[in-house]
Amino acid sequence: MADALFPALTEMGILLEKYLKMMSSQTTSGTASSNGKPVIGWFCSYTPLEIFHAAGLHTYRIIPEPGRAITRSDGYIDRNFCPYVRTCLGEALDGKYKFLSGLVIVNSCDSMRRMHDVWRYNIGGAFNYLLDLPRVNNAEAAVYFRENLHQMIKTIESVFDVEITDFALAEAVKKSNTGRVLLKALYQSNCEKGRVFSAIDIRTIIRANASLPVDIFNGFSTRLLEETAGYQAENNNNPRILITGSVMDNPQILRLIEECGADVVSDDLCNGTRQFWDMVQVSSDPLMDLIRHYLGRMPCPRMKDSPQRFDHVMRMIDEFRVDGVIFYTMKFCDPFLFDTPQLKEQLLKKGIPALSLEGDYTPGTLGRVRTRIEAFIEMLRQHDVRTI
Amino acid sequence: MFEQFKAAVTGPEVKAKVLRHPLAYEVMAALGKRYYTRRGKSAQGIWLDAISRQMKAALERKGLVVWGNAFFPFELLYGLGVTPVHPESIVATAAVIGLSRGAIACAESGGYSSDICSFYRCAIGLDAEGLLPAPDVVVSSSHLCDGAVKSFYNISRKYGCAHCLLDVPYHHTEKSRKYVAGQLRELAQIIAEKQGKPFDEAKLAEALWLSNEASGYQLKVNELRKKRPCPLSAEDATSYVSDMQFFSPGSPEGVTFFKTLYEEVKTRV
Repeated sequence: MADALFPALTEMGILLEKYLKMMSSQTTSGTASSNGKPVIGWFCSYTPLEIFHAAGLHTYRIIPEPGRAITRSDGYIDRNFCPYVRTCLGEALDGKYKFLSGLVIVNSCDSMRRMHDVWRYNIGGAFNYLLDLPRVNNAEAAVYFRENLHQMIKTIESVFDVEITDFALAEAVKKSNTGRVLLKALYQSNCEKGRVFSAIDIRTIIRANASLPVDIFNGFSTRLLEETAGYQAENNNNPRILITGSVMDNPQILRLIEECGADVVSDDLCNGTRQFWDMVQVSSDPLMDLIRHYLGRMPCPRMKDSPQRFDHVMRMIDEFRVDGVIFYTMKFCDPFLFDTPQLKEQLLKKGIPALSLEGDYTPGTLGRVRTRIEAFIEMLRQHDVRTI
Repeated sequence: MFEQFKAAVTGPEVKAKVLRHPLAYEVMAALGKRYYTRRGKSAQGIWLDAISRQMKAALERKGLVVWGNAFFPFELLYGLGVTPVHPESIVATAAVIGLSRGAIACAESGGYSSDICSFYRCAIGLDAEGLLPAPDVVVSSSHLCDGAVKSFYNISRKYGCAHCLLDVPYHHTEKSRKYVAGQLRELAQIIAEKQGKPFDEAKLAEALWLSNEASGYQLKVNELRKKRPCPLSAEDATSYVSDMQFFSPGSPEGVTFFKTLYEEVKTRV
């Protein structure tokens, strides 16, 4: 919708496609990206990308498209397992990520740990790092996390023959923060009645943030923000939706929701607001800043502090004038699915209708959920406050 | 034994009524012990006696009732002198006596997805049906799975009680040991405060001694299991024996159980 109005968005999308194609066409192990930097693959929004950027490395978020290679990993990992992890492994076993020079996996959940095991033993690589992340945010956890980050820094320096200085780290934090501010501002364009960006536009922006070099992304986002300044979005009466859940595997779901007559105005997703919403608070110790940020940022359900996440969702509902919430969670995702009843209960108290959908990283999900989405949106139009 | 018990309590309402009553567990403890001892399975009798008495104590609210999951160091709970409840044991027993299907359906009707861990789905369902003693404190270890931490947290929210998470690090380093030690100290402090008495380290030392003693017998049992034919069936090893391995360390019953098991298994070699 908005790409015709905003040339920066069109150009960002074209460059992103070019970038992703260029990377996936590389079949040689550890191929450098176009800007001459080794590429490090990452999965979890808790990955402290700033450390890799300070080392002069390029980071690439691995989020496969649905329907690809999910059965390829069946010989290595059970079918009753996170479909995202199974698809990532399937693609990796097919050699899709040969261009990577390394991989960082955060110990965010059991599935991620198992992915690290399978990848390490069956795919290999010179840098296949499991970063342990505490589940609580306190002084002892910070000490332990600092040791982990120190160890990771030492490994990066040794494998890639680089030096990560405090100055470089502070610069990387500064640039990431700029990206966070810009992304937040772009999201907030959808706060007012009549949204500026469609859900598909937002997916492009989020994907660009996770895959393009930081400077290039920040440049495009600055331009995009200038282009949207003063733009008056058409005021429609579509129900306004917030999506909450784990990873959004299939942007077509979002397109479907919008085709059914609702506007997806914001999200609480791993590859959504959780990727950037909170800023790194800067002090004279950039490593400590990162520790505080990643332990204290708006949590995902793997952290102990679920109420903090629930409060965040409630704030987003108010800020983005949300009429209904759609839960979109990967099947077999215990951390998210155990949170669902609690969050639904809070939504019910607030009078916000909710719909639960489960994704399995196959395109088949779309046909199965169409009728439920249509019914939910129809219900929102009639101002019903039931949860489905 | 279980078949007889199952037959005696037919119908979900009768079952629920019986299982909510502390007396049911006293009867189960006495009859179970006698039943298994007569059949040459004294260790299994000790197991049933131990878990039944714990359930009875929890239902009678004797002491601070603390829910703990598998992989949590139970030595700390026995050292603190609380009444432990281990839902995983109860869930397994509920499956044997035919209560799990209804409990799982109950959890799912409460909004829990059918794709999440069936053990914890069943525990949540049993709790919703009023078949588990309400906790005063909930403790859970993050090692190994995610379901335990999340479901135990939800239970703590339901009862408005403290949820103490033992966050077990992935890496084994000096700092990771300190991280765990700090959490255990804090946890012991929280529970001791709720009990209204100071934390007695000597009692923890005693629990650790008991744990090591039981562990010694268990290692001996494992040595015997190497013999052909194997003197301990897989059914026994993965049911009541593994239950005691998870939840008895630190208790006198744990020592009695593994000592008896060793003597029992030895006679079959």
